[in-house]
Amino acid sequence: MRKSYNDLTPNKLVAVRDTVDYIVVKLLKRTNIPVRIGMTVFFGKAYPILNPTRDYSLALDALSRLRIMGEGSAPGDGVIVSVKILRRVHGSKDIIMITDGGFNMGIPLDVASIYAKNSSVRLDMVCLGRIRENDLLIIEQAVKNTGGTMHTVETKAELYSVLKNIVERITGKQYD
Amino acid sequence: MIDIVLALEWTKSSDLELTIEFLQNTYALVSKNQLARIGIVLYGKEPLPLIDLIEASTVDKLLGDIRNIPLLQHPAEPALALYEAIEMLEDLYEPISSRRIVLLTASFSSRSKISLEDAIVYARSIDGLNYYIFTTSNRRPRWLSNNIAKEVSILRKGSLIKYLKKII
Repeated sequence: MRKSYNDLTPNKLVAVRDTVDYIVVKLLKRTNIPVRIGMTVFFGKAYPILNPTRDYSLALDALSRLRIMGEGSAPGDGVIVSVKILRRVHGSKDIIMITDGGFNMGIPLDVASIYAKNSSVRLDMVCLGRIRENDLLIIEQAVKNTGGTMHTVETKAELYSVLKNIVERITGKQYD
Repeated sequence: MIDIVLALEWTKSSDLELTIEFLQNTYALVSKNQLARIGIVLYGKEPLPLIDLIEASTVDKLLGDIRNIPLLQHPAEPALALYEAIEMLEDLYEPISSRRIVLLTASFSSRSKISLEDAIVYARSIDGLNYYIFTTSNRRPRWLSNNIAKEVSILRKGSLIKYLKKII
């Protein structure tokens, strides 16, 4: 099937990077909404790449370094690392996890979400394209545990719209 | 102020009833202290921080659900749990914290890949940190090095409170 401009092109990773990049600039550079953004990457392991900040240049730098870092997918570890970087943060806390599924490593996502719940962190999941049934069940349980939401997107436009809605819900303010 | 992190093996090899009793007894002792905080790490092959250090008196409602948490992957790595517990104590350190304690339970049902001895050496290097290692098995496994074995206490139902009162 031919790809249209709005599909997750040239690949999912770049599409996510471009879209998040756009939101970061809008949110941190062009508004005074009191929000800080941190970032974690996960594959078979998970690492923080950005401590929560309002500095958009730091956020863009972290985003520019996003690449395929290894095999496997350990979303539970991604949640744990994300909650940890929010440990000392006050106020409303939210993780927006973007994934294409294929979960096969680390602490299961639904189990890790209990830690998020106990830390008063909400988990919103954004799935890129079709996700395996097993992964979907795990995601549903994880968002249920934390009072979060689950979304599936097929295009950049949908990804932008979903991220924008989540951010506006978290901050309680429209920024666009 | 006293900060306590419980690092509990949560696999098919651990005696979960004994582990939960240990947790409940610790909670019962510590929650009377207004200046105490408790954190909980469960572990199997990997550690799962379950509750970050919070006031002991507020842990109660979170403990109710612990039996529903699925068992974690085997074989267990107690060294990673010790590192995780120390990380929690360090990250959430408050200058008012006068005592910092890690209570680690392990079945030692299989050889771990990551050296517990190294983790213990690291724990010893942290100022003001005390750690206590307990096994839920009936005896210390022979494969444990002497250095570790001498630090491991065997948990028994009747002796839980006695142990805990000595420590806390």
